[in-house]
Amino acid sequence: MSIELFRLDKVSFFYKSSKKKAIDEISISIEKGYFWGIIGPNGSGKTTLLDLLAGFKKPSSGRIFFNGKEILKYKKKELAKAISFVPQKFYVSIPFQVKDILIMGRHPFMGRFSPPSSYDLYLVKSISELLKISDLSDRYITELSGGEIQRVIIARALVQDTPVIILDEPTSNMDISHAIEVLGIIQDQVRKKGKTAIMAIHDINLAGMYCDKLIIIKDGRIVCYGDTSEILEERIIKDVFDVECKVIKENSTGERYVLFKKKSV
Amino acid sequence: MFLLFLGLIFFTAISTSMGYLKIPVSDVLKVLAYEVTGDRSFVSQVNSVYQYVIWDVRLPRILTSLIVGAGLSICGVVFQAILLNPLADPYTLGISAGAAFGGSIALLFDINWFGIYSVSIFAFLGALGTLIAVLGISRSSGTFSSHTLILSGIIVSAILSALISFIKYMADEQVAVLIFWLMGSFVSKSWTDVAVTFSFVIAGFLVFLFFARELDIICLGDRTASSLGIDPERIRIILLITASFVTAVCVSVSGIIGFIGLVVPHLMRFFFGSKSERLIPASALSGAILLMGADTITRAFLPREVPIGVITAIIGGPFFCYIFVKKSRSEY
Repeated sequence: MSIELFRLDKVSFFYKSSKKKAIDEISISIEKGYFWGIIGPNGSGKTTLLDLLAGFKKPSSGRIFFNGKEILKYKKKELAKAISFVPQKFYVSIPFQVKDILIMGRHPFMGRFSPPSSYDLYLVKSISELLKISDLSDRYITELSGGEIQRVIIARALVQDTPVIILDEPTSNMDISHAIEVLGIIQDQVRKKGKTAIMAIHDINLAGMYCDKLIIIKDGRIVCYGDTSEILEERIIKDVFDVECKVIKENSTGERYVLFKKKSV
Repeated sequence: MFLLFLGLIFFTAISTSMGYLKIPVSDVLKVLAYEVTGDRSFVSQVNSVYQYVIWDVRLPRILTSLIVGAGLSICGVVFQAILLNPLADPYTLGISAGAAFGGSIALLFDINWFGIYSVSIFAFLGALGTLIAVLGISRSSGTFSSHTLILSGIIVSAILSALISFIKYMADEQVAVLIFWLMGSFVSKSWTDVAVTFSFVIAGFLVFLFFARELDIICLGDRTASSLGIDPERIRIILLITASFVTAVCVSVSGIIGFIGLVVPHLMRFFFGSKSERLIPASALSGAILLMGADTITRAFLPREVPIGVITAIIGGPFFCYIFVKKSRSEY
């Protein structure tokens, strides 16, 4: 029996500037302990949905429950101890050292003027090793490459050590080797530590390889959601992305690989 | 950091002894001891003219320059972080233009409702008016992001500098006074100036230190800040208003002194890193030393008083270049 983490009850959201709903009456139950992937075309509402789940945006209508309590009723500090967030765009112009940024992940757990505890420092050290960024520790964030910065911000979120991790396109600037490594680490956090990860991702293949469950959205509506092995099908991909493809099933692990076909121009 | 603090005390004593009238450092210390303890025996052998020069002329001026140097530097740190731009300074939002405009009005129309403080008070009001205008314009676009703030700052500054040019054109005889005031000076500062600037700068300093970690975190972007339990909008507003108040007070006391608020935080980043909890105290101390040094040069070494803003730029500019080039070389 799986436990409900998020419940969305007819949630809509629209930006002031446009009349179109970015999120259109979404109702869904997101269960604990899985690696969730959100896929959908550009502008389908993935980032907005993540913002709503993280409590950054208030739904225009409908309600969002987190662990049974409405998300807007949580204090910001409480949510910070429960949900960490890896944003898609990350640009820092102030030359912080990587170690400074990592320790900021412990902010919700630290006293205002107290120095980091030995546990805080231990987390920073072990997660740096996990993501292989230990040698970047003294470097300035302003000098790093896009892929290195993404690994730093994922490490920053893991240092926060929350039961829920929300990620918005975490691998968009990484080469395939780093992408696979990082998604493996997140999968590991889900499987071994019982965390829940919710990730928006463009790369359907990476989603098919790592995510236990998928939410497919288009035009702010949910097309379908459920176990990756059940819903990642040729017909659905054709409907949502308008691309012909072939899905190869690895039945022993439940992984799915998608081969795309050319579009005639 | 402790070295900076010792340096500050050391240079203050040296600076007080220097000037048109050379006074031995020992006499400076004796006068200080007398004023603090009230024990006359300290000054029994000190020339009473020295006593007057030290306590009533030099110290207020030196302390004001120290405090203003510290104030502008810490505001520089805060503005650079809020505007996400290491090239921002306390004047980026047009606070200086506003103060200059207010001060110019007072000078042009010879307003003396507040006695000798009229120009300062008008400058302060001008700076505050500008802040309100900038925040208002920025708000109309929905959020206080660094972009909208910088943009509104540019708009307001542009209008104000046109108005200032107009005032200069109208000013005829007073134009020299006006220009001299605009370029900044610590001539004839009193203990009242010391008290006013000190109370604002120390209050600002404490607020900045209190929010130092939040300030660092909002540099990582609004989503990251929110996910760490911080309301970025709220922090920006609190710090922006505080920093603007401190800047306004500094400008109204001493005119527009450029460069300190830009260069000091920059230099200190090289030595102390970018974490605000360290950067703010370090910038306060070194900004104080730097501005006092510059003021001592114009007061004691140069044959005529030169506006302090000119000195800070002439010394600060090449020094900054040197550090910048040296740092770039060591990196690549």
